[in-house]
Amino acid sequence: MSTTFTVDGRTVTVTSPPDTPLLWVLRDELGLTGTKFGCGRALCGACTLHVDGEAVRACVHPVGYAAGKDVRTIATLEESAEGRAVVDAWIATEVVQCGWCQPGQCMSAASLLARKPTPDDEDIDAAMSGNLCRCGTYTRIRAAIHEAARALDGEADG
Amino acid sequence: MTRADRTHDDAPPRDAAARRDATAFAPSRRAFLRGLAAGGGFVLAFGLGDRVLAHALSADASDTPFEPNAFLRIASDGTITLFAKHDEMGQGIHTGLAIEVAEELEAAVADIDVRPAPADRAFDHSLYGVQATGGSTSTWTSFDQMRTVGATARVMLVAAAAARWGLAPGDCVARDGRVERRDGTAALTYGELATDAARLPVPEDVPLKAPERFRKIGRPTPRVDSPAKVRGTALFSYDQRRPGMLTAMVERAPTFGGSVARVDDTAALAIPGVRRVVVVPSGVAVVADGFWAARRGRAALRVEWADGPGAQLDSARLRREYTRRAGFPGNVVRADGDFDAAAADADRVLEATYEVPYMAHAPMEPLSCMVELHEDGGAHLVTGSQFLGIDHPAAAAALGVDPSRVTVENSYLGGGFGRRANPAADFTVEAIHVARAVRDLGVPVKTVWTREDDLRGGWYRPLWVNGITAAVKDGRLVGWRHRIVGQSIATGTAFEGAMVIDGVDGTSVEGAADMPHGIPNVRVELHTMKLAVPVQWWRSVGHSNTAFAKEAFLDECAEACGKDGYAFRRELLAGHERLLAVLDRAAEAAGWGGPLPVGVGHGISVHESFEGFAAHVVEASVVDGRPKVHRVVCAIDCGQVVNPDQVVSQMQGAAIFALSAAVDAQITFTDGRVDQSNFDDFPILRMHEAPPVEVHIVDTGGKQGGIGEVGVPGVAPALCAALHGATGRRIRRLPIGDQLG
Repeated sequence: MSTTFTVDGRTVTVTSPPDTPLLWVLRDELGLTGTKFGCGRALCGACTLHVDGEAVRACVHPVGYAAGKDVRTIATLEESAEGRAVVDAWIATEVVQCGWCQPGQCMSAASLLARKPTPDDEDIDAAMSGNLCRCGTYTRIRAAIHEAARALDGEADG
Repeated sequence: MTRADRTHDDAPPRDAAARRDATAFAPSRRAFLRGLAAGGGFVLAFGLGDRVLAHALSADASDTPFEPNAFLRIASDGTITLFAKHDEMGQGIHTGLAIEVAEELEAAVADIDVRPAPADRAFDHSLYGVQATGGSTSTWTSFDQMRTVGATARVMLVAAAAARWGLAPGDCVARDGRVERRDGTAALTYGELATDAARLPVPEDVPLKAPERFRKIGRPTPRVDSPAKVRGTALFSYDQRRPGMLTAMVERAPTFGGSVARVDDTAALAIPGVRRVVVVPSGVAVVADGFWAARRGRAALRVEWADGPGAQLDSARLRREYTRRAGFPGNVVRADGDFDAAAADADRVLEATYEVPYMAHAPMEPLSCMVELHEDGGAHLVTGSQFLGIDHPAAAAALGVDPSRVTVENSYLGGGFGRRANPAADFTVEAIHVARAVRDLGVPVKTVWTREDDLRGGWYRPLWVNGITAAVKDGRLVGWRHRIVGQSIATGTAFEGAMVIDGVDGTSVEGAADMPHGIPNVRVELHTMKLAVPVQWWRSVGHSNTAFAKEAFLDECAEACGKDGYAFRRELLAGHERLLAVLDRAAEAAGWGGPLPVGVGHGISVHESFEGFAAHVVEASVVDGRPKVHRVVCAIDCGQVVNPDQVVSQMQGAAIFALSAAVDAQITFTDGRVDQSNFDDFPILRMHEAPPVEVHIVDTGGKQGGIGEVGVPGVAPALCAALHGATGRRIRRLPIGDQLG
């Protein structure tokens, strides 16, 4: 049995059983290791990616769920304006410490900005509280999201 | 001189482990270096007591006898590669080491490709004498060494350029990756000079810049690893893949010390993708095509376990026993004056019991280790470790081969916090056993841990109970007795000989035995418990307990003396300039003494650990029975700063890490089983709970010291003092949990 979907703009047909979590199809069958594993139970957000534009936790969504859908990982996040702003802001703000959670953080942040271009702190709390960071980079994640929002606002004005 | 009789004159090993037979480390470096040098170039290496060696490399130079210890390579194409002796686990050390080299090399940090060093004694820790990253020592113990790497290379490049031009070296100057003629008429890049430079004699005793001439050290420098980590292209251990690689997952005994009695693997082997089920010393391994098949296979195992000594563990009972012990004299660690006499003569005697739980490190990237077995009995490992110097010989021993047949490659570490510096090389050795058990399959095997494995797998920060008694007379603190009850981390490890002296593990009493406060009668005692729980250093180690007990109880003493926590500490720390400087800065920055919103309290702490000095002010309240942290202000003095923005980042992260341990996270046991399993019952701080953390760097001109762990110990006591201010209630046991409900 196989499942067909697009990942990062490329159509793929995978042979993992359809109940295999999308995360492990990406990491083990397709070799896309930018999407990380942290808990396996949608408790930490390290595996966050976008399916048809929605941020989802790949560790609890079976690959069957992605059938026929458009999956975006960190690898192509910068193809969207929000994604580019997030990555730029993450680097400029020096958010990163160990870095394991950060692709998932960026996916959640870009999703937030797509819904809400100028989020306030409460919006950030609501959108980002599912993404854990053991290094404790939250202060900078918050600052980077505000920075990305400002950059997007500037682009829109320009 | 052979590798075996090489000594470390410049950095005498401090511990017994480091003095073990140096022949245990004789890795095959030639192939490694040859690989590096393909295409020719200039390798600058250290050895023989930091005497710098260099050698021209070319495709036909493969038989050249090399000393190991290569840190820096400049290829003829201009590529500069730095092999980082310290592991990058988030603390920014890859960037820090590159800054130190670049400062003297006169090259841009961004132009240096920093890679994790493989296992090799060349990369031994300058103080520990074994390849390791820990103890908040990386920056200060590598500072002179890395600058010397850069300076020596620069001098040789300048000499090569001078020879090319027929000038004196003094007529040339190195700048931004090039050597220029001072008259401005010509310039050569380092790449163009690399091959010439490599043929020159290596200068000794190259002078280093005085700090006032630093142009990179001490200025904010972007992290070299940020872009790849943000974009998901940075390779961690868990990300490693090889053609044909299988994934293994180990079902470990549910109680510490337990063993496999019987396995029924029928259902597991029926899972598609499961290749093998094998018994290994730590449990039962399921070897499968990938993570998911391994996990399903493991879930389908039926294992009967023989209980081990850990089967009786029960946290409630342990806490009672520890607390009872705290009421009796222990092994005396420090005895200034006469505490008993001071207590007998006191106006008032205060007594309290402070407690911290077992604590898991829970790095976001769970543990993993990939093993490729060689036909000669050796192996190549790829892992994410803080302790290659322990893992490497342990892996060789597990394979029963000479370490020269084993190579170990490191990755970025998705958090460490001490867990990846395992004194028993637990996750490395286990991965070897798994790979050996399926050797006939002839493919690499990556053994991976789940979050549940991580939280239930032991190697925790110990449970500690502190009984503290203080004597107050005439409004002053005149006596202090601190009894510590807990397991020893070093006992039973290779570090026991050096770290456990007269029955006292220094890590159990650090921060207590050396408290510098002006109290005339001080007594510190230790009860060392022996239990089946494997324990390990957890970011800030003993200080995570002793600073909590000491600083929190000092607040009780301040109250008893009718004094403010800040003023009380200032008096007790008279003469300790660095502690006072950070204390004053934190108090000033936080507006200590100023008005606070209704319902909000503040607390202050100051503590030295790992040769760094930190003070914290925390503002907090209680909302719906739960602590709410509004603000953390931190002041840190770590001496000469290399990358100030990363010092700030470490302090910010340390505060959040410490709050997680103070508020909710803990490991407990019921009927020998760990109660926690994942981030639902081991909650760490989330975005909506994380306060802003302001950081102020103080430089008193003192010795360079630690950073990464220094920001942890003082947070919990400052928080508890703040909550006392807000509610009048004392928290004496972590985590706070629902104690305020």
